[in-house]
Parts: sequence; C-alpha cells; structure tokens
Amino acid sequence: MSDTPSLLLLLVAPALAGGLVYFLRLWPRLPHLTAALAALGTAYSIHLAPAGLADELLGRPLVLDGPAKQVLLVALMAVALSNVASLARPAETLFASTSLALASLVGLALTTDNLTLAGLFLVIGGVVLTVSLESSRGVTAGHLQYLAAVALGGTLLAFAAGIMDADPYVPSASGAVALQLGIGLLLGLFPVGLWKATLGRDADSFSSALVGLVLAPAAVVLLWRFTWRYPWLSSGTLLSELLRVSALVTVGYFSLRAAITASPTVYVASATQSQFALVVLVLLPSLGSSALLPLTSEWLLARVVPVLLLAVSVPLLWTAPRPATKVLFVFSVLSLIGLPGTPLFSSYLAGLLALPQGALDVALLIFMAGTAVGALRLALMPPAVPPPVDRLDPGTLVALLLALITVIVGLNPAFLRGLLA
Amino acid sequence: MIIPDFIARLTLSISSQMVAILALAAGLILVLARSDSMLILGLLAAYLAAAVLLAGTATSELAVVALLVGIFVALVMQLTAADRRSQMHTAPNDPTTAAVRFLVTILMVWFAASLGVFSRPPDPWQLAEVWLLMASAVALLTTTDPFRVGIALLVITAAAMVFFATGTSESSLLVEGLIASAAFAIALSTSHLALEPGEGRRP
Repeated sequence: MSDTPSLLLLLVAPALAGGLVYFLRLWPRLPHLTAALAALGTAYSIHLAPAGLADELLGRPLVLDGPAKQVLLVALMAVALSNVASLARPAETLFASTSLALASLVGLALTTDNLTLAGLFLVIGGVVLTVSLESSRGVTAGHLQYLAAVALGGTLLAFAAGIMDADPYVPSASGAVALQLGIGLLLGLFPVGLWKATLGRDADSFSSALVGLVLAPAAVVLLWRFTWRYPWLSSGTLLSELLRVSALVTVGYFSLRAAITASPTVYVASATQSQFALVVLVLLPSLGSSALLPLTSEWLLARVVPVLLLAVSVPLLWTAPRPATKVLFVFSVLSLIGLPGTPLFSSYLAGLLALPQGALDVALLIFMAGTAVGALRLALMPPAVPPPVDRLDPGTLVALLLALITVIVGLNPAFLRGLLA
Repeated sequence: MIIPDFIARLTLSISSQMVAILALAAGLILVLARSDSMLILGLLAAYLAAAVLLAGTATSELAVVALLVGIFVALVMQLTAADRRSQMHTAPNDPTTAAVRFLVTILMVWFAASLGVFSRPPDPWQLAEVWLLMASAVALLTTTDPFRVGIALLVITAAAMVFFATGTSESSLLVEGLIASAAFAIALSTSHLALEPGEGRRP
C-alpha cells in the first residue's frame, strides 16, 4: 500500500473542510481558526507530496508539477494567514468557507492538464469568492466589476484554449486576442486594472486582498502554461511586449494613485496592485520555456505576509489610532517595499540581479516612491476618532502577530525557499 | 430517455428561423428592457435557443443540461426579483437614459449586420454566439444594476455552452457541467449583491 496521498483528495480537502466550517458559524472565531488549520494541514501535505504526483478527475489527468505545487502552496498559505487575520474581526460571513473552496478550485485549475477546464475552474472560484467580499460602504460597484472581470476573464481563457487546442502549432489570431484579454482582465492589467481600484474602494481591504493573493497567482501560472503549450504565442505574437507595457503602465498608474489618494482602502488596493504588476515583469523570461523561473514563485509567496499586514494595519489607523498602530502601518509599508530583514527584500534583490534587463529596476523604483509618498500622506493625516483608552484591540494584536511573522520569515529567507522546494 | 427524445423531436419541429428569433429577442430584451420580469424572459429565451441549437448540432443530453440550467438560474433570478420587490429595493439609477440605450441598440444592430450576423437564410449559430455576446457586452457596459449584470453574465454562459459543445474538440459533459456550475455561482453571487443592504434601497 502506497504512503502517497491521493492528489484529488488533497485538492478537494479544503473544499470539504469549507463545507464543515460553514456549520461552525454560530461561534464567532471558530470558523476562521478551523479554516486556517485546514489550509495549513493541506499545505503541509502538499509540501510533502512528491512533484509529479498524478491523479484523475472524471477521466481527465491531474498532475502536481513544480509550478502547480508552488503556487498552490502560495494560495494555501494566503488562505491560512487571511483566516488567522480574520480572528480579529469575528463576523458572520462566508469568508472562511469560500476561501477554502477557492483554494480547492485554484488547485484543480493548476493541476489539470486541460486549459479549458482550468479557465472554467478559475471562473467558478472567482465568482464564489464574491459572496465573501464584504462591502465597506454599502456600495457594490466594485464587486460587480470584479465579478464581470473574473467571469469574462476565465471564460475567455477557456475560449482561447478551446480554439488553440484544435491545432496547437498553428497560430490563431482569435485565440491570441482572447488569451490577452482574458489574462489582462484576470491580472488586473486591462483596462489598467480599474476593477481592482474600484473593488479596493468598495470592499474592505482585507477580503479584497485575497483576490490578488490567490486568484491572480493562479492566472500567472496559467499564462505560463499557455505559452509553453502553444510556442507560437511567445515567438510569433506581441504577447511579451504587450504584457511588459501593460505591467509598466499598471505600476505607474497605481503608484501614482497610491501616492495621491486620501482613502486608506484605495491606498491598499493601489499599492498591492502596483506591487503585483512587478511579478508580471519577473514572469516574462519564463514565457515559452518549459520551466517557470523559481523567482516567480518565491516572489508570489514572499508578498503574502506583507500584503496581509498592510490590509490589516491600514484600517487600524482610522478605527484605533494610537502610536502602535501608526508604527505597524509604517512597518507594513516598509515590508511591502522591501526593507532589509523583510521577506520581499531578498526577492527584489534576486530579481534585480537576475533580470537586469526589462525595466524591472525602474518599475521597482516607481512603485517604492509612490507607495512611500502615499504612506507618508496617510500617516500624517489627523485621526478621525480619538485614540482608544482601552487595552490593545484584537486588530492590533493580529497586526502585531503578522509583523512578527514578517520579521521571522524576513530574517530566514531560506525558509521560503525550503517551503517551495 | 424520454426527455432527450422530446428535445430531438422539438428540434425537428422548430426551424432555425425560430432559434434566430429567440436569440434576436433575447439580445434586444437584454439591452432595452428595464423590467426584471422581462429580463428573466430574455434569459429563458437565450437558454432555450442554446438548448435547441445543442440538440441539433451536439447531443440531446447536452441540450437537456442547457435547458435545465436555464430554468434553474431563471428561478434563482426570479426569486431575487421577488425579494427585491418585497424588500423595497429599486434598481440603482443606470447611467444611460432610454434614448441612449435605443441609440446603442441601433449601433449594435448595424455592427452585427456589418459582421454578417443577419445573413439570409439566418445562421442560428452566429446569432446565438455573436449577437448574444454583443448584447451581453453592451448590457454590461451600460448598467450598474447587479441584477442586470447577472442576467448579462448568464446569457454569456449560455453562449459559452453552445460554443464549447459545437465549436471545440472539448465537447464533454464535464465542460458543460463546469459551465453550469459557473452559471449557478453567478446567479447566486449576483442575487447576493442585488439584495445587499443599501444597494438600491428605496428611501
């Protein structure tokens, strides 16, 4: 009898746990705690599973190759940490259940051999997440834009794969256009990621951060798979140039928006989207090759804690303004822009050393400048409410915990590499 | 297998012109109508057109799946509309006036005609794919009402069902099942958003 677990079981385990978690909603913090443990347990099993582990879903092959394993680990860690962070604000939402379901669907999308199915799994996962995106102001325009972008983007990916599969080695103009539009919508590059900014404005920063931490990395891997399976995409089209230009425009636009906005939630959305667009520049050398550059996965994993720390600490500036929350906010911004001793520092440094061409250095500078200027403006704004006199609130405690994890992981960069190895 | 046989017989009796009329009506309703009930009727027409096309070009089983999905998502949207009425919700003010919508419709018809969508004899496949997708895109661009966004996305899934069953090598029940799951997820999500407290609530 083999000790290796069934891949399909590993992939559906989070969704099954999500179903169980749904019935724990009577207790305020238990669903998030259970969801975090379930995601961590699955991540540990995936980490131990050998690369190349295979299974079947209704006769279709599922393969846990290196990139799928790495990005699935990123997704599970993001789900686990976001549920840990949710302990600070117990509310009767579906966040715990839907985040676990999303992890399962993303896992299926990453491991399936069929890109049509992968696109459709992403559609379902993205749409399911909509119900857990809380509205911060009773307005749902951002939610609708997100829903339309994800539904159309995933369907376009499936459509592109359907067309290209007819003859993988013959260029298809309609397939290439569908792929570019679909990926642009999913990654928030087209049209200049406007839906991400609107979602950041209308949803709370915390739940919308999960979109960029789970769904977008999966779309990155699918893009790489497309270019690997259909070689003419990277050699015979302008895909790489389009991605480079749109990523640079996105970095510039969102850095500017982060620098001038007076809204904390828009700031979080802009800074994180600007930082995510840098990943696209790191991905470019891998397009068309048979392996994904390890730096891409490291970069995606290293941004999980800083992004969540920023999403948790920014609202504290308004709800519980005290010196400690201001320090946490400044630290979260510094960790996002790669302060030495934080996880992203080694990723940025490795990226600059490994990819001297491609304008990564300029984009990184623009992102850092915009994010820092915006943070300075927000930090200097007078608090809307007087400082609380009671003890530390749960939000501050969770932010402190995330800051601690940031420092520990930042001081041990080998930990991240070991997790992905 | 009574139901697939029924669909097969229905396909023979309904001409391609009938499918074309259904798709055309669904597209026009999607862009012009503001009533929830009319929009649901348009949604049903789109799924019925998709089912009849699938019965003719793919298999009867896939046609039954499309028909059942259409009925169930229309039921979800009907319940949402009823809830909206009972909770005194109103559709948020759309940024487009009736005159603008009418103008957009004329432009859409002109553009579709230039693409050869209204060729003679009518090509039901083109109408179910190009025309419905175009109408959905226009509806998505001209509204901020979650209910209408949901209907437009559901019509896109109906067109996707036809495409994946007839236009690709990937015509399996698994693909159709995933599209059906996506349709249910879209119906439930837009229902959730349409009933969100504060969204379009009448003062």
